Amino acid sequence: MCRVLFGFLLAFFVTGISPVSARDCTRTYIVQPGESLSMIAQAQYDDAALWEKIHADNLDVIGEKPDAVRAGMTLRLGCMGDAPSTNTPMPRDAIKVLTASGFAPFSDRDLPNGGLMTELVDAVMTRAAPAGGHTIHWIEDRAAHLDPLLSNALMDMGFPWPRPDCETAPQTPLCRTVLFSDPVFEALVVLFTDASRPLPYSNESDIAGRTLCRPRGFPTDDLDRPDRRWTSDGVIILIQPDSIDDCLLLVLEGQADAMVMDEFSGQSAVRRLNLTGRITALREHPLSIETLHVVVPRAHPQAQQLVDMVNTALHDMRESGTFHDILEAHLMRFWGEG
Amino acid sequence: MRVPSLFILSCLSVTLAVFPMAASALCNVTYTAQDGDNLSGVAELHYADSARWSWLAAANPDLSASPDSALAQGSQVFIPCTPPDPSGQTAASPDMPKVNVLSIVDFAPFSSRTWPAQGIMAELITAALGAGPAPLRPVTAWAENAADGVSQLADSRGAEIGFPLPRPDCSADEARDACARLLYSDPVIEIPLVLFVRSGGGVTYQDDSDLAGRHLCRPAAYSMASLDTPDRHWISEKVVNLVTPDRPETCFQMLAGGQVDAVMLNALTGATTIAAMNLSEQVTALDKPLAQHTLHVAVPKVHWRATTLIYRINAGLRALRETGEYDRVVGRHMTLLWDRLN
Repeated sequence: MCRVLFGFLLAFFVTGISPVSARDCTRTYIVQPGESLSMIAQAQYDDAALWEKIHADNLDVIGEKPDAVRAGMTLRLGCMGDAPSTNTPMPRDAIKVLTASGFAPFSDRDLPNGGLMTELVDAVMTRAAPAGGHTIHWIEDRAAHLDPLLSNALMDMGFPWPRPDCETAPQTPLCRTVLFSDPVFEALVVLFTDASRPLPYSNESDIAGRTLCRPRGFPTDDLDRPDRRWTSDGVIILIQPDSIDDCLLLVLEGQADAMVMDEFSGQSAVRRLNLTGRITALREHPLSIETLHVVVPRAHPQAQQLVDMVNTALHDMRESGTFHDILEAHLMRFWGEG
Repeated sequence: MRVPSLFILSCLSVTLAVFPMAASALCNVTYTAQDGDNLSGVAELHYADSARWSWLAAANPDLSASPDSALAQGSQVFIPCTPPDPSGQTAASPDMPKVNVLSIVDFAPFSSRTWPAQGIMAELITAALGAGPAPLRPVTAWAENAADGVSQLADSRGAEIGFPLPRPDCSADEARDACARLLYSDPVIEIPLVLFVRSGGGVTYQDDSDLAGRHLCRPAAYSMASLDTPDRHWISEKVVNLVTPDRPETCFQMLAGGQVDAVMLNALTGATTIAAMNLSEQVTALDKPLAQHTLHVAVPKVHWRATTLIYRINAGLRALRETGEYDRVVGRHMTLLWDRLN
């Protein structure tokens, strides 16, 4: 599947050849795995912002929510009067920034401004002001983010990504694939358990033989590192359903002993699903400190310049107070709901 | 912490009034070497820790660089409050990521610009941040008092963690704002709130009725939460006459001058102030504390690493307690305080 997707995306993004020309517009288009509306708009019309038009033309297929677009859907692509000539790539493209929903409070299209990290990264890129601007692409198939989208530099940046300890474990796929910005946010990774089935946990030996849940697409390097070989030594059983919500339901059904997630996204899901009181977060004994970053594919020709650009803008925003203001709006909402 | 604080209490109420004041240990001062002094002895005198001769050696490059060689009589030795900039010999490495801390400027011996290692809390927090997971090196800024510290933190543009701060009772109305905006660490230090009275002045304290109608002094910047509790309504029902000048020194002047009957302060700040004002013969601490206070570290909730900072401090403090380093740090400062009182 990856090879297919890779070849497909390569055709659009790397070579810039698009199958839709201005003349044979108003045709049907079959959504490929890993694609979002903004990605299709970018590929077909060289303008990600036109996703709204595609959405409006295909409400009957996609429905109200634009992120409900799924592989295999057949969309009608109308003529865009100002669609650029498709055989000449834009000289200076917008920086394509990749994220996905389902990670409240950090990134979710249903949150104000797309969530805490989305608003921060959008502000960082606005401040950095690259020549071609930037576009944020919501591609909800999170499992496709690292490979192929980032590994082949089909996207210029991604967020939010936890940084493994790349100094001690440089062979980690994530470390080999991307460069990390300075940390944007830090959170504790904790166990979320069924309140009616307390999980005794005070040190790592208590975890042996347990079934832990981490949604697919979220890195698991914190569960398998040189000093904690939980998955490679078979210390734990790891299950990876599609979403945080699925993990919590599996915990309540007894199919998992705990969900392992950062405290913020876990707690947000617990509240949204009205599971407060039924799920316990073991905050006293965090498994690790997780730092969240913007990443840039190492395969990108300007990888280091892009990381430097993000870091400079991030630093300036922290100095000016803009960073704090954005964080405050999102985190007061998070804590206020507690 | 309970042991050393009781130790200070008993010092105050029983023995210390007998001793005359002797030379105090201070920092950011210049000490004139006496016959037979060496760096380790001077470090012991000022820091209660002879190993800190290296601080002196770094701050006084013209003097002997060895701990035991005799200093020339009359040599001027600068006594710094803080360790030399990390250059390899201290635990904090210069590569260690930094964290901006906000400490209260004049709250000896917990935090102070002019107390060795900038106070007990400052030394404990620096050690805890170095001993916990993902170590950080503190860079210190100063707040005028606890209220200023809380408001600077709530603004949270620069300061990331603040101390020493009392943890308010979050069920009380007046605490709502601080509780909504700040996360608090586990207690770093537990310290009794005691009454300081004139020696032989006849004021006693067995239960709260003994204080009805008395004039009690507490500096305005200190928390009044212990004076109005579910079973104590000293302020709301005006049971006592509360006097709230700006500074602890003013309270003690009013006590010595007979304008108030007692000063309410935590045992260590009280003892330190009495020592600095040379009042140890006129003032006594009463044995029975009014309350137990705890001092904490606070972090703004909206900070980008609020929960991980609190975790680092709590985990670091646990590690310091397990290794005995916590007791060594507190013991060293208690020795300094004892020396000041003697």
